[in-house]
Amino acid sequence: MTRYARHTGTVLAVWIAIAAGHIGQGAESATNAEAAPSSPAAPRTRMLVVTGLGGEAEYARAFEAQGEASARNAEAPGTEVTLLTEGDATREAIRDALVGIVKQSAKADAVIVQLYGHGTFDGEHYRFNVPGPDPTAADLAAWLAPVAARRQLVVIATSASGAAQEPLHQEGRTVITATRHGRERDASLFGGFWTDALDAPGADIDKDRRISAEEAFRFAERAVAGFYEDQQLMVTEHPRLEGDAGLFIVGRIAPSERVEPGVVHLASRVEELTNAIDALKADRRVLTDDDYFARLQDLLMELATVDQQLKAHQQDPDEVDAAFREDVDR
Amino acid sequence: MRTVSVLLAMAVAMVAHADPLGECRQLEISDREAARTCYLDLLSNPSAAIRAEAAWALGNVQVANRAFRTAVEAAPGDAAVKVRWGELFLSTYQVADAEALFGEALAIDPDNVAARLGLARVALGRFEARAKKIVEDVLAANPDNLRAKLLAARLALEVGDDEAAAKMLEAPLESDDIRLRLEAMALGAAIDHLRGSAPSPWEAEALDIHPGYGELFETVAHFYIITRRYREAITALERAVEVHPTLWTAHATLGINLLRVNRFDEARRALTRAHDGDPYNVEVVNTLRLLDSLDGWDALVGDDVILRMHPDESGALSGYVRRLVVDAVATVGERYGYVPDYPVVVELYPRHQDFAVRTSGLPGIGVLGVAFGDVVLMDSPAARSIEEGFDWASALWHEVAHVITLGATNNLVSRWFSEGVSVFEEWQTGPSRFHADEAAQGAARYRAMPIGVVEAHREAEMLPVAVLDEGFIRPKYPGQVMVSYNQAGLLCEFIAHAYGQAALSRVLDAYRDGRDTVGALESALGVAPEAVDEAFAAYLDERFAGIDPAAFEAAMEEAANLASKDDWVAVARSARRAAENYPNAVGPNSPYPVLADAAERQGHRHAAVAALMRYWHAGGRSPTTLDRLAGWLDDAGRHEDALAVRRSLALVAPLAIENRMRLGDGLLAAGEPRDALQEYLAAKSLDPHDAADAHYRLARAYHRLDETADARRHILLALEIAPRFEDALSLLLEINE
Repeated sequence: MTRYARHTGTVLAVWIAIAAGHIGQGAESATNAEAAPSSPAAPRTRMLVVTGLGGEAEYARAFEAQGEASARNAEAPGTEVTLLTEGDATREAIRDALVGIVKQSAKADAVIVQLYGHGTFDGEHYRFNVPGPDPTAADLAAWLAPVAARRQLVVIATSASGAAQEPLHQEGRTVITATRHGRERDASLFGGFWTDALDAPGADIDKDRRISAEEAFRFAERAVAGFYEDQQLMVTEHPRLEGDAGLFIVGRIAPSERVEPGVVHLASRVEELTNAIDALKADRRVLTDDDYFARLQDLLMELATVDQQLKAHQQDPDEVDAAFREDVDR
Repeated sequence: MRTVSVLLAMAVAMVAHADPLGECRQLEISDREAARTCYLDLLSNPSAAIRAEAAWALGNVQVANRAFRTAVEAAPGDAAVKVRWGELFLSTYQVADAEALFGEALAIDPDNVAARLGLARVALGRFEARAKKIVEDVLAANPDNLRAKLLAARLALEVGDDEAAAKMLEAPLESDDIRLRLEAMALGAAIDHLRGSAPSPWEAEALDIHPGYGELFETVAHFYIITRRYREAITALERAVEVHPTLWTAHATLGINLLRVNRFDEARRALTRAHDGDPYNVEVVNTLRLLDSLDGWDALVGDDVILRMHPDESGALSGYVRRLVVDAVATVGERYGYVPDYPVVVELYPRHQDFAVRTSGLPGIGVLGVAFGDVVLMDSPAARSIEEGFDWASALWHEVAHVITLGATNNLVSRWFSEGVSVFEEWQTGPSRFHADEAAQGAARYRAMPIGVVEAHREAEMLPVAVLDEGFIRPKYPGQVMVSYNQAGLLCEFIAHAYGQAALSRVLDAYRDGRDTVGALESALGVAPEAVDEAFAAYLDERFAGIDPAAFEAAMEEAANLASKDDWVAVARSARRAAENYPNAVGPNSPYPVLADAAERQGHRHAAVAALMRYWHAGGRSPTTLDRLAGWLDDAGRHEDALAVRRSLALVAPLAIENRMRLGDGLLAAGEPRDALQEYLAAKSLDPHDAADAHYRLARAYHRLDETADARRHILLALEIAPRFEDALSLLLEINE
């Protein structure tokens, strides 16, 4: 077992980027902007990444790189990562790792499992190919069943992985598979594109500098389709997402930044404005275009102004703090 | 043509089954209703072969097919019945089945002339060179065979040899067999039309014999079509269906040719009539389906250009297409003294199958695009990419050059010369034109030709200019069409080199005046075609001097082996040797990217850039390579060069969003916000994954253009998607300052 070294004692980064509206509380510790230092009550994200048998050297290298990229990108937001690579990734090791997660996780936590490699489907069972006996989708479902965390994400980037959707289905669990069903048996490209997305600016649709599982999935889904179209090949995989993947952060494109005490009020305002924009977007149908865009502009102008103040603070904190104190005094 | 073939075959049948069918056949000419009654009576004839003929004559091909099967089962050794069954398949467009039955007939009777001529007709329909050989063999063994003479006349006329064709028709025109005589008259009429002598006296004479003989006009139309004179073909086909309203093949051909001159509504009506009468014509079915799908296309009508494009592509391509067409018309038009005063119609097909349906029926059409007079049809870059060798922008330039040469000569230009000018203009003035290295010597001064062309010259496989059209219409070896295209381009290059650019215009003028190739070259250049061939060969000797394909291949292979060992000094040496043995090669096996890679790995960025600049100047257009070059140029601060390379890149791969975005960025940085805006709009139309970023870039361009309302709209759209988008927030403040 390779314990991804830097996860223990991770400081829960608090970002300037206050949680966007679609990121639910607790899905990632970092979304709790004001929760500064780590505390036992702070929600955590625990992630297990497993790379299975490659069969051929080229696949083995690719799967290992995918696992490494997943672990590396998830590590930054303060997620606890366990990485099992080909030789160590036996059925027992996977089970033990999940048992460990079961013991540690609380309801408010999030659990993410990502599997990279080859999968098979015999018409009844999906199997993830590892050294020794292969774990089935039913095994994974059984091992995950006692996990207390309400938010669970399982990503299976293997051939035939669509067959795992049904066994893994559970309320509160999001399941992403490389294929629509078990009959898509060819080696899958999805995992490569998924891990590409984890630090790709182009995948960051909402520009919050973080990559949600939803964003990574959409990026990879499109890339897979584009590949087959460009190569004029028959499409042998159709990625599938069941659940709310927007609840999980799986990568980022910029390092997180701590919110300094002097600008907490600005960070709070950013969050309020972001939420107000989401609320306005939800009401769009009942507004005229003119009214909608006028209100949107007002909110965005204020957001832009606050954003500038935050940037200015990064450049010259003392000056901004002084200005803030003057504001408070007034 | 098919109907005439059927008539020919019917004549065969008259010999084989003369007694029961003869009367009905005779009545077909004089009294159609009586002929119908006659055939109906024959449906109860005890002979299955006769029942088959009767059902076929009455238009019930399924009954005819079943009856032929019965006849063959009853007499499996009867070659004549198999030939007739094959003829039935041929008439219903099932050419492979027909070919098999003719083969079976020949297995029974190797000397069966009807079967051999059946195979010749199959080859004729496919524009295969073996058609001529089969007919020549039949005539060698049977010098008086009239049906063979008719096919020989047709073949001669297809390559423009009207004198040979007329000679072949002499005997059939004297035949006692009315049907053979009628077909000979049809071909005689075609000769007259091609010679510019219309109407032909044969028309009245044939209609006197057979007032419903629309096949004559169908034959005339066929020869107009293969010489690209679609308007004349339409007139002939209208006459064909006027005298023979149930001649469904003529309705079909009329519909397809109306499409070629952009008369869509009339085309649909003609095709619908053809389909109502003959539902087995796959060409008609496909074209009608295509027309249905075209209903949802964007039609962008301008004074100079009318574009018909798929809505998914028009936003990304229409700007480039319009600009290319306008530039090509102006540039090529000026060089040849003819600028059309009508708009050029361009249709781009994202699915190659649709393009094929739209263009079917033209011999030796090649695969890149086609110009029907002022209507240009092409695969769009979505159908095939630059990696597959399809430089769509250059191909469009090529087709527009056809519009010029066809228009300048009223479609009288020969195939080889029209292709030659188009190819030559791609090389000289097109968007992927060749830029010579001033310091280069020998073959390095010229654009590289495919190795096959060099070899065709060295092995004396190039055709004499007087018969070069045959290389397009009925190629005799694989790759001859490609060789012929390049030979034609090289001939024009040679003429411009030896006689001046104006000589090419004089050749065009001569064609316009009705001269054939021999006459055109003699009048424009003052020399016989044989002298042109001789001087051209000498020109190619010099142009190809030093090119050593074997040494090139060996050096490239060596470079690949050395690269696998990371010996980059030796790789560079091998790649340089490859470039010396085959200068300016920019195909998939080009030495320049290899050379660049080797230089880069040795830390010689300057040399790497130089290698790729040569690649680009020589016409190399691999997107990966150009992207690398542009990046290096930007790194070196050569932004102007980088921008020029990015323009090439976006042009060859215009549906790649990233290419359009980066070009837009380069243009914006270079102070060209209007052009940048067009690139960003194109990118946005391609539905980019990162929509917020696309709106942001549009907002930047509009802001630079002081078009504040649009700038504000797009920045709000960007931020609506991504409220935390810092650059966009900053721009919002800037816009609202």
